[in-house]
Amino acid sequence: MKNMILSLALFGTAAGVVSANDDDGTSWVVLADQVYTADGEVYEGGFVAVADGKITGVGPGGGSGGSELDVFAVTPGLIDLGVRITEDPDVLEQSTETSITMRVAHGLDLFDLAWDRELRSGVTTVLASAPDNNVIGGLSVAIKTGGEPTLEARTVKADAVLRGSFGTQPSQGNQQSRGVPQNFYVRRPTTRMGVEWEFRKAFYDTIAAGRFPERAFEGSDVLKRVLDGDLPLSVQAWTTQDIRTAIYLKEEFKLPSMFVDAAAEAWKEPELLVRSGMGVVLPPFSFDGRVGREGAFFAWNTAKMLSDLEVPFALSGHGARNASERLAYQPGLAMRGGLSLEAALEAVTIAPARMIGIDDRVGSLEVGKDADLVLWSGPPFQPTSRVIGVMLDGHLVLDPRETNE
Amino acid sequence: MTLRRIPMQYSMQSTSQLFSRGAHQALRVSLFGLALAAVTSTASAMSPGGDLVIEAGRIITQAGGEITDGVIVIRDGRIEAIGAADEVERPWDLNVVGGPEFTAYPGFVEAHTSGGMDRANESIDVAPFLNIRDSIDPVSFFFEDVLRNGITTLGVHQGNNCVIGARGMVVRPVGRTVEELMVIGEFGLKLSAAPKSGSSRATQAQALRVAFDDLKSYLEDSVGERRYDGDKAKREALYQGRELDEEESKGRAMGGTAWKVDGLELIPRGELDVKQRPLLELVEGNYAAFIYCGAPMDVHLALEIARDNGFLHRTTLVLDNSCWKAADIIAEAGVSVVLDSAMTHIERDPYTGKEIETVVPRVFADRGVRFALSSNNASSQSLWYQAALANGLGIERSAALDAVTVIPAEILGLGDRVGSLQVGFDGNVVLSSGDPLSTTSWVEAVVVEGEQVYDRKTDARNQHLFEGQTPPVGKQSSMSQGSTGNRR
Amino acid sequence: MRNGLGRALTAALALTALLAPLATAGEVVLRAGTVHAVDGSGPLKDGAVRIRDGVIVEVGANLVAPSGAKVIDYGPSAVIVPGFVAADSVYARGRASKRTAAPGLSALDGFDFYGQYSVALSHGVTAAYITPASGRLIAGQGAVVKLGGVDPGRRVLSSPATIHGSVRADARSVPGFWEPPIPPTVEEGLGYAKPQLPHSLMGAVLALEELMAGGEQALEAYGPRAASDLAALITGGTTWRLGANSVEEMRALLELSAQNGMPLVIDGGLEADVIAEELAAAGARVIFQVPFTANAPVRSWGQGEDSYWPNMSVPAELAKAGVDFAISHSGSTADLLFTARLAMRGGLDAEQALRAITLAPAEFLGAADRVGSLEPGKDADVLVMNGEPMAGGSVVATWLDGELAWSAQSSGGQSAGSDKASTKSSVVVIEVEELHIGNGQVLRPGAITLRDGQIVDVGSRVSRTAGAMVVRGFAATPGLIDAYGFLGLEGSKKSPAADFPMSRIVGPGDELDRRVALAGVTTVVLGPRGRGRAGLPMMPYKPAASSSARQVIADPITVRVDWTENNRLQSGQNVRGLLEKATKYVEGWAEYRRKLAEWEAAPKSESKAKSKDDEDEDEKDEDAEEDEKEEEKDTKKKKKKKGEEEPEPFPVTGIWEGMLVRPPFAEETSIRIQLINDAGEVEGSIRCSALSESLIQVTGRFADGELRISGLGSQGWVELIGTPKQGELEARVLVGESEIEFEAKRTRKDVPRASRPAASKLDEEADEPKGKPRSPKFDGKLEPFRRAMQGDGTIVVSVDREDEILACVDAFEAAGIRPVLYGADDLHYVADKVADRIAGVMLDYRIKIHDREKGLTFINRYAQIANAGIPIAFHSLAEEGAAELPTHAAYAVANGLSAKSALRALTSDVAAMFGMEDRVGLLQVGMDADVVLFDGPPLDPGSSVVHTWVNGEEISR
Repeated sequence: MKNMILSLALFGTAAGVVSANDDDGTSWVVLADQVYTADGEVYEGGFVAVADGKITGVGPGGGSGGSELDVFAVTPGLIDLGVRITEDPDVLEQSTETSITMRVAHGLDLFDLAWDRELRSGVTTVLASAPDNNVIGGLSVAIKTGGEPTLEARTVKADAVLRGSFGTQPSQGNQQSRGVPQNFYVRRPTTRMGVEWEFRKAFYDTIAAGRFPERAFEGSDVLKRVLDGDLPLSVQAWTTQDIRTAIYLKEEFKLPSMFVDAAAEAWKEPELLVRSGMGVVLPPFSFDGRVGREGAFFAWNTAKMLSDLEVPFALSGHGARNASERLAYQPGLAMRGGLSLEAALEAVTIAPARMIGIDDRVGSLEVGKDADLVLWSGPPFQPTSRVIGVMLDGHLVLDPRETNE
Repeated sequence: MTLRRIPMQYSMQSTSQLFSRGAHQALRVSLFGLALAAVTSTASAMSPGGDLVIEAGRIITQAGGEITDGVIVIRDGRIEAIGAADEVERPWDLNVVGGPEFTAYPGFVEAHTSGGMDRANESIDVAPFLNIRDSIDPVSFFFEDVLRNGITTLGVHQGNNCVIGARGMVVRPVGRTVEELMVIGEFGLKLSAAPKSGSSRATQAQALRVAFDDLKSYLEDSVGERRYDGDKAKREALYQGRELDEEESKGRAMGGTAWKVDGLELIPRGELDVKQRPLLELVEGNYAAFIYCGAPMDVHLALEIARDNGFLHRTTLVLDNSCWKAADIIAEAGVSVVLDSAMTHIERDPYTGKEIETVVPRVFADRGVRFALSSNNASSQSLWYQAALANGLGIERSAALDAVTVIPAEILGLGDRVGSLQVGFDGNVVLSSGDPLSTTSWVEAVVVEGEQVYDRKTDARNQHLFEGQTPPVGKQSSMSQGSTGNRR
Repeated sequence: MRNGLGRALTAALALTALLAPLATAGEVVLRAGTVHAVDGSGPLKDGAVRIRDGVIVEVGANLVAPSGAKVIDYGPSAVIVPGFVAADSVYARGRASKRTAAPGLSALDGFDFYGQYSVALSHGVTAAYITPASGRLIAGQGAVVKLGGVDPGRRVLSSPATIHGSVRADARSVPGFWEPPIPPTVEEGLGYAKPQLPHSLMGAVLALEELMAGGEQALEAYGPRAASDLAALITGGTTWRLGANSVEEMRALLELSAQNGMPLVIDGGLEADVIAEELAAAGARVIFQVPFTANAPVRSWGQGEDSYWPNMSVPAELAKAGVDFAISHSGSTADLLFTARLAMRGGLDAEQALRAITLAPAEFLGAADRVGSLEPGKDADVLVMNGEPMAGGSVVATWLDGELAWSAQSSGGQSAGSDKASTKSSVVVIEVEELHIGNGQVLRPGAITLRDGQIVDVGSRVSRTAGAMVVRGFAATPGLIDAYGFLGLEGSKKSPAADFPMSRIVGPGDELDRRVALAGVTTVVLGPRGRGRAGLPMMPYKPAASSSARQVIADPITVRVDWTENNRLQSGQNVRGLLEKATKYVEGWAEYRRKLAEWEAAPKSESKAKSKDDEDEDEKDEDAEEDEKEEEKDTKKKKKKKGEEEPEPFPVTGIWEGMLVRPPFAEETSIRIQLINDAGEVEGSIRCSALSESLIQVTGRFADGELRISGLGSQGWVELIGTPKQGELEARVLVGESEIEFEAKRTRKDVPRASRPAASKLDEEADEPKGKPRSPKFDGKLEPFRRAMQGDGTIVVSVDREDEILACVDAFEAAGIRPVLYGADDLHYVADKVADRIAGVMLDYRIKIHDREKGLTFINRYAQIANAGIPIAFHSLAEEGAAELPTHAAYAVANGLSAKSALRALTSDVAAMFGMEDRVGLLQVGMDADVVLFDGPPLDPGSSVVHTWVNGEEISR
C-alpha cells in the first residue's frame, strides 16, 4: 500500500513535468498506421493534429505543431446512446409515469467513477437517459464523459432526446388497486398495453392541446416538438412486440425523428423497420443470444442485416458490467455477424451522432470537430487490441506513453 | 440435433478395440490409484476411437510452431501423423475432413468449471465423499455450447461455496451418458479457502484445519483399535453393506509426503470410512486439489493447508481476480492457477478515491506463474474470446493460447494427451474459418478422438444464433430450455 | 511545495521512493519542535528520532545526526508522537461462531494483509487490535497487527494477543446449537438445537468455569475442541479480554480472575468510575470504550432513572484512582484521536490521554515490545503532527517501520479528464500576527486556509484540517500586482494588433518568473511596448503559475490607447475616433439584440435556439475562455470574407523544408515551414531548433512575389523575408542580431489547416433559417470598449498635461467610460476635478517631484492623489524588474504615503481598476490562493518576503 501511495505522489509530479513540456498539453499530433476518420476516409499512415481542444488537421503523412503521439490506430471517440450511467434511484422519478419535462441532466452525479470508466474504455460522449421505469422518462442529455465536472462544460446537447420505454419494465412493481391504495405503486400501468396507452394518451392530449390552448399540460410543448420532429424520440424496446409497437406509434403520429433503443430482436421484422424509416440502437452481444431482462433473443447478424437494408443503427454498451461487454468491443462482435469494419466503425461514432444531431461536434475526425480520439494498440474493436489512449477535447486523459509499456 | 448424432460404427465397435483401450485405461487407472477402475474402463471402452484425416491450410499445433497446408492423420482416436501435406502420407482408406480454407488447432481445455451440473453446491460443509459424477447432466446445453466454441476437454468441479467439496471429474462434451462423457472419473477434490456463505474467515480456516485433524485422529483411532483387536472398522464396513473385493481387502501403508499414521497397513482400505477415504487419497497425493481463493488473504490459508497435508504439488488455485496481490507467494509456492473470466481488477483507493485498474494475467505472467483462463460467465462464454482479450491486455499471443490449451491440460493431468497436436495425443482438433483469436472466424467443425462431433453447417441452434432464423418448433422449445439451463 | 516543511517532505518522498526496494539503506533523523516519547519522561523540546533499518535507535533533545543520515526537520511547530494503537477495530470481525465458545478461531485468519488502511494511517493509527468476532462468551483469539509496512512478517505484533470474549448482554443471546449428522444415522435421527450457556451473568461465569475445568462435561456442552483449545491458550498465559460494563459484570470478572489467577483486561468499563478503587486494588486493567460513535446516528440511552447515561469522565476517575487504562472507540479507527479527546472530559491530562491510545493498549495487548512508545529498539512507527495531538493537531506524516507510509503531500490524486497539471489537493494553513486582507482591513492575529488553489477559510483562527501543513509568519498579504509590466515579452519590441491574444506568448512559470513571485509580485498586467492606433492589448496573468490552467486572468482585459500625440494639436483625435466607432459598434449590437428578441417571439426551431445560445455567450464575456471563443469566431469570419473576395491558387500554401546554418553554430539544422496563404494574409508555423526551441507561430503577408512572415520564438522575434519561385524558396530570416540566408523546397502543396478555422461552424451559419436578423460583424478590437461602456472593465489611456487630462476624461465620460489614466504627470493639480470620474491612475516611478509653485520643496504625488480619493496603482514597465515594485511602494510609504493605501495600490485597488477583483487582490474566501508571507510589516523597508503561494502552490527558486 505504501508503494501505491508513493507511485501516486510521483505520478503527480510526473504529470506536472509532462504538461510543462507539451506546451500545456493542448496541441498534439497523433501519428497512426491507420487513421479511421469515420467520414469515409481511412488513411494508411496518417495523422490527426489537435490544438485547443479542436481537431486542426487530418490526413495522410505527418503533421506538425504539437507534441507527437505514435500509435497503431486512431478512431473518433466512441458514442454510446444506450449507456446506463444513471441507473440509480436518485434519478428515478416515481411520482408519475410520464415525467416528460424531467431533465435527467439534473440527476447526474458527475463525480461518479462510472464516467471515468466509460472514458478510459474509449467512450467520450454518451446519451444519458432516465432509467426506463417510467413510460416517458424525460429529456436525455448528450454529454461528454470527462472534462471539468460541470454540466456547462460537459453538455454537448441539452434536451437531445425525449426518452420513453415499452415492455414490462415501466409497469414493474405497479399493482392493481384493491380498495384504497396502500402505496404509490398501486397505479397504472400494470400491463404492457397499459404502458402503450400512456404513450398514446400523451400524444392525443398534445394534439388536443394544439387545437385548444386551454388543454395544454406540462410537457405538451415538449411532445409538440417531438411531433414537429424538432426533438428525437428514443424508446426502449427489447422484443419484436415492443419494436412493432414503436413502429406503429411512429406511423400513427407521423413522428419524423424516432429510434428504438436496445432493439435486440430487430432482426425479426426488418421490413417493418425499413418501412417506418426508424433508427435502431442495438444492445451488447451475448454468446448465448439471450439479452435484457425480458430475455430477448439477439442474433449475431442483426447489425449486418440492418446495414444491408440501410436502416440507420448504432451499437451500444448498455450498462456493460464487465470489460468484454464494453462498447469498444461491440463492433468486433458485430463483425462476427458479418458486418464490415467501416459499417461497424460508423455504428459507434458518426451514426449515433447523427441520430441525436450532434454530428456537427463529434462522431468523426474532421477539422473543427472536438478533439475526441481513441488510440488503439492494434486493429480497432478486436478483443486482441486495446484502448491505450483516450483524448477528450484535446486533453490526453489516458496516455499511451503510460499504458503502452 | 447434430451433437447428439453418435456415429454408427461407434455403437458397433469391434471388441478387439474395446480390449486394447480397456487395457490402456486400466494402466492409467492404477497410475491415479483410483478406486473406480471398473467404471472408468467401461467409460473408455465406450468412448469413440475414430479414424480420420484432417486437412487444413494452417495448423496451430501448440507444440512448437505452425504448419501451413498440413495434414493430421488420426487413427483409433490418437494422432498417428501430423505435418505438411507433402510430408505426411495419408492412408487411402480414411475419410477426410477440412480443406485449405480452414485453420486447425487443438481443442480448447477448460480447467475448472461448474457447468453441466444440476446444481453447483452442496449444503454440507465438508463433503469429499460426494462425487460430481452423480450431478452431471450429459444432455445439458452447456456441453453443446462449449463444443460450439471449440472446447473439447473440461474439468468439472463443485462450486466455490463449500469447505471441502465433492470429487470432480474430467469430461469431454460428447456423449449421452456420464460414462461416455468421462475422461477421468475421480480427478480431484474441490476445497475453498474463502468463507462459505454465512461463516466467517476464521471459521472457514478452522473448519479446513479441523477436517484434516479429524482424518488424522480417525486413522489413529482405527489403527489403535485394530492393534487391540478391535474390529469396529470391520463392523462399520459391513454396516455400510460393502463387499470387499481383493484390491479393497488389502491394507496399505500410508503414502504421501506429509504427516503419516503408522500401522495403517493393518487396515484393509475397504474398511475405512467412505467419508474419510477421499481426504486420505488427497493427503497421499492421489488426487489433485482445486482450492478456491476469493481474496488474496485466502491464498495464505490455501497454501498452508496444501503444504501441511502434503498435496501442494498437486494443487491448483482457482482465483478471484483480486488475488493478483498474492502473486508473489503463489509464484514462490510454484502452483498453477485458474483465473477469473474478468481479467482486470479495479480497486478504489479509500483515501484518494482514485481507481486503480490492474491487468491480472499480466501480473502472473510477469511472475512466471502458469495460469489457465476460464470462461465461467455467460457473456464471455468461450475460451477463444478470453484468450483474445488476454492478448489484447498485453499477454503474448502464444502465452494467451497456452492458457486455454497446454496449461489447463497439464492442470488436468492430461499434458500428454490433449492441449496440443502431436503424434500420440488425442485427436481433438478444431477446424475454424480463420484465426482462433479473431471475432470474425467461426468454429466450423470439431473432432474429438477422431470423431467429427460438431459441424456448423448442421448446427441448427447456431444458425438460429447467427442468422436469427427460427428453427423448427421442436428445436425452438428445446432451445429455450437450453438457454434457461445456460443462465444458471 | 519546496520550502521548509515542503522540501523536507518531498525529499522524504523521493528518498522512500528510491529506497522502497532496499528499505534498510541509510539512517533517517526526524526533527520537530516537540517530541512525546510516551516513555514517562515527558515532552522533549526540539527533539529528534533517529531511525535505522526501520527501528528507533535514539530519541532525544538536540541529538546529533550522524554523517550520511537523511535529516528531515519538520520545523518548530511540528509535534512527533508514537503511532496510535487502536484497542478495537472491525478489520477481522466476521459472523460469530455457532458455538458459545470458539477459542480455536484466530483473528489473523480474518485479517486482510492486502487491504487498504491509508485512511487509518492518515489519522495516525498504525497498529490495531483485531478479533474474529464479537457477541460470544469466547469469540476467539484476538491479535494486534500493523496497518502497513512492506514485510508481512513484521506486521503481526502479537498473536494470540487475547482470549477475546464478553459477559455483557451481547454475549448472552447465544442461539441453540445443532449439527446435522452425515449421513443421518438411526442413533441421531433428526436433531434438535441444544440450548447453550449463557443467558445470564451467572450462566456466563459458570460457563467460563466449566470451560476452564475441561473434562467430559465441557466436551459435551461446548463441542470437542473448545476446552482443549482453551487449555492450550491458558497454559500459554494468554490475557483474557472480557467485555464488562456494569458494576456487577466487572465485579464478577474480578472475582473470577482472583480465583483462577487469570490475567484480565476489562473491555468496556462504562461504569468503572464507580468501583475505581476496587479495580485499583485488584490491579485490573480497563479498556474504556468511549460511549460515542462518530459518524453514526444519535443513540437514545433510555429514560428510566437507573438507565445508563454516557459518562466521559471515567478515564479521569480511573487515573485519579491509579487504575491502568486504555481508551478505545468501537467505530472507525479514524476517529480514535477525536474520541480520546472526548474522554479527557473530567480533567484527564493530555499526557495520560496520549498514553491511553499508545503505550497502554500496546502493553495490555502484548505489543509493547514493538510499539506504543518511542524508545530505542522499538519499531519506528512515528507520527508527525501539525500541533499538539490533544489540542487540535492533526497528522501531516505517518512513518511506519522507518518509511513514509502516508503524508499530506502525497495524498490526493488527479481526477482523470481534468487538466493533469492541476495543483495537488494539499491544504496549507497560514498563521500570522497580521493578516492584511488587502482592502485596508487587518486581522491580528489572522489565519488563512488554502486548498485546491483557492482560499477556503479566513479568520482570526481557522481549523487545522487533517493533513494541513501549517506555516507561521509575521504578516501575510494578497499577492502583489504590477499594473503594467513586460515580464514575458522577452525583449520583444513588437506592437501587435489590439486583438492579438497575448495568452499565446506566455507559458508556465520559469526560474525568472518565480524569482519575481518570491519578491511578492504574483500578478503582472502584461502589455506590449510601443503604441498602436487601435490600442494595445493588456492581459493580467500570473507569471509564476506552474500550469496554464488558471494562469491567465483575462485576455485581453482591456486595451491601452494614447491620448497624447507628438503633435499636440492632434492629441486625442485618434482616441475620440475610437470612442465613436465603439459607440456605433455597441449600438449596432443593441439593435441586433432588439431585432432578435422580436424574431425570437415568433415560433422558433432548434437551429435558431442554438444561435440564441451563441448570443448569450457574447453577452457574458467577462471570463477569458469566452473571449478566446469570440476571438476565434472573429478570425473565422475574417477568413470567410477573404474567401469570398479572392479564390485559389495560393502559391505559398504548403510545407517548405530546407537546411540552414546559424552562426556561430557550424552544423546545419533543418527548417520546416508550414504556411497557409489566405488572400494576402499568410499564417502558419516554423519549426527550426536553431531559431527557437518551441514551434514558432508566424503571420504575415504575401504580396507581389515577396513573402514576409514573422512570429515570436523562444529566442525572441523571428522575421522571414523570402521569394518563392515554382517550389523554390530563397529566403533570409532575422532573429535577434543574426541574419541567415537559406533555401527551402516545397514538399507539400496542401496543409493540415493550422489553428482555428472550423469548416462546420461556417456551414452552420450558412444554413441559418431565413428571416433571422444577421448579427453585426464581431470586432475583437472594439470588444474592450464595449465592455467598458457596459460598466465592467475600463480603458487605459496615457495622458500627461492637465488640460489634456481634463479633455480626455470629458471625452471618455461622454462615452460612458471611467478610464484608467496612465502617466498623468500633472494629475495632482486637477485631482479634485476628476476624482470620481476615473477608475484610477497608474503614476510612473517619480514618487517625489518638485512642486511647480514652491520651488525646491518636494511633494509625494502618490500620497496627494491617494488622499484625493483616486485609486492609484504601481507599475514597473519592466520585465524581471517587477521584483523591485514592492521596494518602490516601501519608498512611497517612507515618504508619506499611508501604508494602508500603498498596499491597496498593490492589491485590491489595482484589481478593481481592471475589473479582476473577483480573482485577485483580496484575501477572501473564494479568491485565488495568491498569498505573500512577510517576516515583518509589509512594505516596511526592513521586512522581506519569506514564502509566496500562487494558485495555492508554494513558489520556490
